[in-house]
Amino acid sequence: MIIYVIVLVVYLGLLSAIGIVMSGRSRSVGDFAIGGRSVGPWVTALSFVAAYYSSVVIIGGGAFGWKFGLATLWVGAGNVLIGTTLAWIVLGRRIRRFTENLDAMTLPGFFFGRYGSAEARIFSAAATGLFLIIYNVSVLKGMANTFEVLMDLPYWSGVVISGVVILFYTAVGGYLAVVYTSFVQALVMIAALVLLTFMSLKKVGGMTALVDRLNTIDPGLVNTPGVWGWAGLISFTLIVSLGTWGMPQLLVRFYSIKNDKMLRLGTVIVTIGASVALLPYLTGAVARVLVPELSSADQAIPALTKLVLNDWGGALFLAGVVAAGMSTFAGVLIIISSSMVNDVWIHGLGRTLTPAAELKATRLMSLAVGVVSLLIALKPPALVLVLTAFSWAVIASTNLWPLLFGLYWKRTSPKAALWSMLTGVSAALLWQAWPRIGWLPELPGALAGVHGFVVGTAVGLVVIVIGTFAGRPAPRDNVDRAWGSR
Amino acid sequence: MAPFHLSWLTFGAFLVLGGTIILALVWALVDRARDHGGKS
Repeated sequence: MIIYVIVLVVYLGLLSAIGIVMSGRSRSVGDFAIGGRSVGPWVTALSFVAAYYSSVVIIGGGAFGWKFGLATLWVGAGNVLIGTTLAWIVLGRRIRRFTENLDAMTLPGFFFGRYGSAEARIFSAAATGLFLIIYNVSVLKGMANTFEVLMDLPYWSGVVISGVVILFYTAVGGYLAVVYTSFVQALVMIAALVLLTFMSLKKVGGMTALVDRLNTIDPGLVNTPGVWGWAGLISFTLIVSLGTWGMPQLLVRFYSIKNDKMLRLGTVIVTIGASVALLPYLTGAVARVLVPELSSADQAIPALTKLVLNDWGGALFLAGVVAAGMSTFAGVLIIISSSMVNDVWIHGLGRTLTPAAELKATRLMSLAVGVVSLLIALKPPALVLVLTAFSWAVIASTNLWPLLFGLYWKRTSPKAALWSMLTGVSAALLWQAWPRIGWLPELPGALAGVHGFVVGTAVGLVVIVIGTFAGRPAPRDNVDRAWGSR
Repeated sequence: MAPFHLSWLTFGAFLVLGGTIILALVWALVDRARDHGGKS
């Protein structure tokens, strides 16, 4: 226990110190929200990895590996190819250039600049803000559960310890504190995952022995799609991979990189760093062999950690899971606070603030949103737990197509972008709620496994394409400014 | 049968990972060459 405490105190102290150092560099809202567009490729790339893979991915990915076996490796491969490398290649440069041309610091701000649509700005800010808070609750809960299992601490203390440290360095140091702490957190997370994978494969007798032993339990744990089935495997891979293309806490890394040439080195670093995505699924499958009797699949990774790592290794792993959760939580806090103040308060409600007052308001908003998330996470209501399961689906369905089409198709209509958001979110929510609505007919087996994200994005895609052909493009001035031709 | 007694379909996840790392390297090199070509 004392080893865990030493590692955590040193680690959390280091994060807080980074927050204090960075506080001097956050002198404007631009510094606080996007680091004054001054971040280098290593920090941008590894902080992207840390923000992408939260504690939910590590603990939840392990649970999927335990339940569904090695077919889940495809989820990790999808995270790297679609969620990371293609996102950087397809979105990175254009987002960097367009947001600078439009002087946008938030994704809703980009929608306003690109389409001239105040409605799209407000809807995106509101839907994204609400569901990111819900997502943050699940991230805090994941961290607290790990404290609970590995340190035998009560759940509430895990929420409070991690929540207070994040709130401190985020509110004090702003975006730069978030990316630099995320950089450290990514290194800790990668080291922890590599250590756990190496030690657990050693314990099980190597990769071939793992496959053979899983085969004797159930051949469906070795084959693809195996016990999961295609519908579940493909739709889950899509939501946690393509979904990142609409997640503002990840996209903001492209706004803040120093220049678009740095995206080249960044793309290589981020791809290599993101490769650890396969490890939670692989170690989850190892746990199925080594710890087959669990009351809940979510215990797979913590139980495996206790079995194969000594106290120092366990403490490093706990730090890794906490790192993954903190970096995600902090990244989300910055996004919500800058969006609420800039998009909703100033532009939506038409309030005027001086630059200094806006910076102060954004700091206070990050504290307020953090405290609200923390209080909800202490005792999450049942509805919030249900909603966390599809917060990604709602956020990605809102932003994905209006962003992608806005970057590549000059003709894209503002009304089509807005209706794509509205119908995409509605379809995703309706699809997820379908089994809970008594009077609706039951979905056939193959369709029932399809996630609301797939339905929401399919509907949003159809609406934005048809709506663009039927409607008017954005004002010429907005398009020219976005493309930098004016 | 693929390495580690896996089916090729499951082992394909590792191949996709390797291919993605190569894609990132090739894209970075092509992009740099295009930039240098544009300047000369």
